[in-house]
Amino acid sequence: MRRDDIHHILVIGSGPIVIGQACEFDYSGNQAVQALKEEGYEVSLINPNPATVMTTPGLADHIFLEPLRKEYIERIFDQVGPDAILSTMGGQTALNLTMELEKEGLLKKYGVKVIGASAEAIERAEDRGKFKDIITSLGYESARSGIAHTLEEAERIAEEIPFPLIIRPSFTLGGMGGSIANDRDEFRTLALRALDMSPASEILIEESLIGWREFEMEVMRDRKDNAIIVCSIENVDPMGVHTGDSITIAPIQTLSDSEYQKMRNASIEILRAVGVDCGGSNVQFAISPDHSRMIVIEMNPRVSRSSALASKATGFPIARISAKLAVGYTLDEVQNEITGASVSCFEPALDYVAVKVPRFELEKFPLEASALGTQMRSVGEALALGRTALEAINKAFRASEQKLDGITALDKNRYDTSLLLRSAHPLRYLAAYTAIKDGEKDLEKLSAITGFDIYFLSLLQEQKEIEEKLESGNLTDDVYIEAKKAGLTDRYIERLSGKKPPLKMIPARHYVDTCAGEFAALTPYCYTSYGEEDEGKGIGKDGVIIVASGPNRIGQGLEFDTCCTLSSKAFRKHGRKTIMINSNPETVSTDYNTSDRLYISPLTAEDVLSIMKKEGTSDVVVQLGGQTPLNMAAELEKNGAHIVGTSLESIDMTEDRGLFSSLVKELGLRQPDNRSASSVSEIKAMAHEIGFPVLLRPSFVLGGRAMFIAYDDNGLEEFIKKPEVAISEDSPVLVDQFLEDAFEYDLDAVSDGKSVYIGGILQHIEAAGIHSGDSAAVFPPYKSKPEILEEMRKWTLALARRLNVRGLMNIQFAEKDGKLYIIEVNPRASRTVPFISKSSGTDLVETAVRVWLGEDLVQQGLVKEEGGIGEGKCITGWAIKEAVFSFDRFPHIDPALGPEMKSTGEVVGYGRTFGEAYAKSQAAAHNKLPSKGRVIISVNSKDRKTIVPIAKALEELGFHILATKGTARDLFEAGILADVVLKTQDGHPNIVDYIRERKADLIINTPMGFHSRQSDDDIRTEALRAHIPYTTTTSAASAAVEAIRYIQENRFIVRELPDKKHR
Amino acid sequence: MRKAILKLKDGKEFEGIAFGSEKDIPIGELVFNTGIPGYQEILTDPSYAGQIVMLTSPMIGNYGTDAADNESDSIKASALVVRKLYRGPIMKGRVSLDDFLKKHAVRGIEGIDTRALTLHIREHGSQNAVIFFPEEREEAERLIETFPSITERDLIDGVSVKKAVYNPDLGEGFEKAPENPLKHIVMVDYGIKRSIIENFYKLGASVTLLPHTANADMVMKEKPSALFLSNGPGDPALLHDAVNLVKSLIGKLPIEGICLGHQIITIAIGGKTEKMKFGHHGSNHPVRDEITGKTFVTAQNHGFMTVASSLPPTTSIWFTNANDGTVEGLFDETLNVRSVQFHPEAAPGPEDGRWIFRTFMEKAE
Repeated sequence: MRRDDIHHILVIGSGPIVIGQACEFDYSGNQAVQALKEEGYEVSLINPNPATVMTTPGLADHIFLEPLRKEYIERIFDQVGPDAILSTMGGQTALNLTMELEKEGLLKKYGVKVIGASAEAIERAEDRGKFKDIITSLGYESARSGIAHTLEEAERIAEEIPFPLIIRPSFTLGGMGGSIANDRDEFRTLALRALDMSPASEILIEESLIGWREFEMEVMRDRKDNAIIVCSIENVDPMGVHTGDSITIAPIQTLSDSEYQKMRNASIEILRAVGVDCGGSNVQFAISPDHSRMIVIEMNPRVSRSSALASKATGFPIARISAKLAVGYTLDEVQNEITGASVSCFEPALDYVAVKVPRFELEKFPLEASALGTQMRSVGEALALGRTALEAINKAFRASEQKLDGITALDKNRYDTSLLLRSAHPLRYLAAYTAIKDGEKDLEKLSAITGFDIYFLSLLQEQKEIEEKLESGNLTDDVYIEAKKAGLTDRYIERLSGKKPPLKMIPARHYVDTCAGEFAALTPYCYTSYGEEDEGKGIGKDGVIIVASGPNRIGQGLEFDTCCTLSSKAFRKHGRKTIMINSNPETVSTDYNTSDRLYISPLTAEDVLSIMKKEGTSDVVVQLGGQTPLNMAAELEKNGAHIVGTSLESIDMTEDRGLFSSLVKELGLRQPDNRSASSVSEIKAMAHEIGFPVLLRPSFVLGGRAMFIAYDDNGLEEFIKKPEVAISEDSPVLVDQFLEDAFEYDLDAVSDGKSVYIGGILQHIEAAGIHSGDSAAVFPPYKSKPEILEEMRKWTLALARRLNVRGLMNIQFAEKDGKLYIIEVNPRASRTVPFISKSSGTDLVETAVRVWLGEDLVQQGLVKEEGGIGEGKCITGWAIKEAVFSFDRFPHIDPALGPEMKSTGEVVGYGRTFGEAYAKSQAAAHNKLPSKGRVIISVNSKDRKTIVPIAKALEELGFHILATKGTARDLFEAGILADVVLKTQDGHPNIVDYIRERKADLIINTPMGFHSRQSDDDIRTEALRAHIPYTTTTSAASAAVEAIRYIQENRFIVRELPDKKHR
Repeated sequence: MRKAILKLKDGKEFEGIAFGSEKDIPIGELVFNTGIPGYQEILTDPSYAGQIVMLTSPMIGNYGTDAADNESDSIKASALVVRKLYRGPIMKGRVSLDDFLKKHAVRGIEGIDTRALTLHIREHGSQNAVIFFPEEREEAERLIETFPSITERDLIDGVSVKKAVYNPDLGEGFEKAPENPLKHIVMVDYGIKRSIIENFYKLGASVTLLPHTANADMVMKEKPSALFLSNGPGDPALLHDAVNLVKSLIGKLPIEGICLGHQIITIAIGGKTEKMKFGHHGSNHPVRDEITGKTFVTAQNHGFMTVASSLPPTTSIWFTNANDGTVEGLFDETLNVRSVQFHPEAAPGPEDGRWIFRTFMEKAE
């Protein structure tokens, strides 16, 4: 029964995307908001992540893109007066925040009830000591362990349990700070670090279960004690690899019914004992390789990444139903919307296999051989469904978009496969395949070495047999069909067999129906599989296919999923039927009610084309999902797809350097001087022609990888020596003029080919040379001359008309010395589209969809007359986007920023003043700007003048100023007294020592050029580790000053996101 | 790898690969089970006698078979149909599913589009099917034309004990009978699962298993605390002797039953049963307890059901299927009978209904 004692519910989101907390919480939050609205509650939402779907105007009643901090939540309590708070939808962040509100007495003060999971239940589940007691009292086994609050306590425990030992800090997300110690020395260092990371200075030390089998149960329980297992998941990777980094398979494959039921009973008993009585949780188990011991590892009393996965793997909407349970319903009262014929108090039966393969950024964040551990490192994941385990695994590897067609043997020239076999490494499973392909027949031995269950190795054996049949070159129909059924692509089959496939097979469409076919499914959630009977009919010409963005990765994540989701909604609103294709289980786009039809499928041209044929439509949208759909656009078009919007020819003109340069010339615009060098001597000659500094990058590498800024010949040498740089006629190096100290801009617009509507122009705060995705940016521009902005508008219109842009376009500009340059044009949705849409109050995605449906910008009322320019305004005063990084996951990696994107997420700060907006953006990004204390200033000679007013202001605000010698001298001349600190190369104590000892609260350090780069890097690295705010430009420093002013006022202003359209 | 064919009575054919035994063409009613693990328990469940079992879970055989998971002394299903048989190595001490079928002389077929087959049965209902090698086609087609439907077959005799057994030994991995029994349950064996007996053992009952031909005197001679009617295969409407037995004992002692036993009780107290289109066969069926209002997940395996409207006024519905509203259990205090349609002993499936055995024990006198 619906609870009538509450009326207004605050949903807490999870904030920016970081490793361990990604799109899955947009999905869960979005489902929760919808479910609560359906029940007629007033819903407020706090989440400072502008890229999310959940913060789209019109969904919740009150949307706050404010920092997830208790002060701001208290203001929301005060301002809009919710009487309940839903804590279980925003990951560990929301759970911790709820606990904090509870401990501070704020919930009591404002009469707010916690729904979803009670504070007591959260405590029992999260406090490792209490949880262990519960497990013991239920008669189950936990790993041998102890809890310590000091190093001494920790060492006492380490004497009792044999090494290796696992160390986990309490109350952190995604197992952050967890580590494995092999001996006493390692133990001491790691224990100290973990104590430091835990908000409660509490760590758990436990027996190592490395190499055991790992399982997970997704459980739901309601207040009537109805309990169900939604999904069981088995990790292909053994214990010792974080479950987020493991290849996983659902349902559990290797347990007998009696073993499975034991685990099932334990899961339900644990939920009951912990007191989860209105929502979902997951419980993790380890089983010894001989199946003689079952150990309970942990539980999460909330919706999690694995529950998003479980929802997509089974079709059971965990978050939605959790929200219903949170407001009083019981499982038997909630309909299963997929079948419409059953209640939600049942356990989904799967007649397929679901496999998740994590996606890593091995190139951006290289891992040591044994780098995977208790701390999550992957940035995204891909899900694939298949009728057999092998098919699903092959599809999932392909879907992870890591240049793999499926299970493939590793190149032994590149990888030390025997080392990988013994390492917790993302490539271990492929290393096992390599060994089997090389003739290893003793699967038991291989299982003992790798920790993979013999069952999963046996699947590799099957793959080998299929590959061998293909390699024999006799590609009969039977062999081909067998390979297709195993999930292999035509391309791979052709590569192995050297022959074109003998027949064209179109896969069958299967429905995910939660009931293995027992009832007819109402909700069209599909996957494809080869060689079986087809279900249902194609949507036909009414349908439009949206190719989404696949697994999250750096540079392509939530923002694009939001664009795809919004487009689906817009198409449907305007009468078209949508077919969404995606492989990312974390997303809203893969929610069963986002589109008319959903396919969980790898995003390759072959897969998309086969779906296109099945559905009987040729309209395909490729400009919303980032690079993934664009990369396949040509092949889609060649095979009969009609690319919706801007033509491929135009896209080509923007992507091909030569064509683009001619276009810039033709239109009389300006771009940085650029060349293409195919030899080392050419690079040098061109660099000198253009003039230093120059921006260098290999032409075949995307996403800014291996980009490098050279200030002189030494820099050129350094670049040339990089292992990923190979220079030849076929792979030239691009040499560009680098606009140092330029202001950079991002512009998002929609065009109908005649007019253009600019959603907004964003100005970057960080120095040029930092990837646009990594820099803080302001809407509207805060330091620009009107002429420059006007020029941008004109250039945008010229480009849009010449390229006949239909739909979205993003342009990056730079301004140096009063001159405007075009850096690049992307005729597609950009990362900033959701941010600009929200901040300007105009949904650019819907605008584009309406253009595609034939309604031009004049008809939409966004442009006054044909050939004109319309432009959005910031509806919140100021909007500042700040990038958020996950560097603390990679302690061995230099957190330096540059032309290669490294951030994983973003937040927004809104404010009436620039200071307010910037302060909030920093608070939301967990950059703790100080309100008092010490500031260390070290700036290059060019910045010595501009830093003076900043230093003066900081002095006035009560800061103690420290500066390196040269800076201190200049400040002294301007009348500011600064204590001198040493540079790192000048002895001790130096800047780094100050940072390590936490004797600095703010650091302003502008780049000193090539020669002091090492020391700049050291400072930045240490500041990041010590969580001390660090700015690299004087413009960021002056922004910080304005923010500090706001902070000192100690007012926590919350502003509801204005909803232009909906009121 | 030998090709084999699965053919349904209505003519639908699927080609696959044979496994298990090559002896004798299996014929029987084709039913599907949507449970995920538990193939061994299903195969050895005597309720499946006369039926060809098709599993919707596509990967079968992954963990082999283990003597402790047998629900009877042999495979009782006529044959097994799966999408993909696991043929790789398994844990030491276990027997592969392929070998298990061979040992029990049961045929299997893999590589079948089980999804299409399930949807076909959902559409057209359960029906007889046959599995044959290409050279056996003529014989198989003749067989399926003439073979009686499940409602015409007496399957009980093949799975019931032949004479009374006191405290049967359930074999490896199962509990033994209690040394100091609290109560004595007399069971009529229509094809009982070991786990049912074990659950009574666990609660301190001794058990006498009687053949399905038992009469009232044989029952009463055992001085039972309660009469229990087991699960079993086939159509309850054919079991006149069983119904008469119950009729003659109603009011004389508590009478309890599971699955087929529940259906026999239904008829004995004046109710009706009817054949379902494709039945309930799986491990995920929600059942609502009409007394407490609680819903829990159960294992089910039945193709016939109690018609709610046919029950006498004194009889209450104990459990209802939360999906389709069908009767899942009944009790009648005036007649001292209680029974459940689902399988509280699970095996395979969720054990959330095991408390039913406590009720059965409490009500035994």
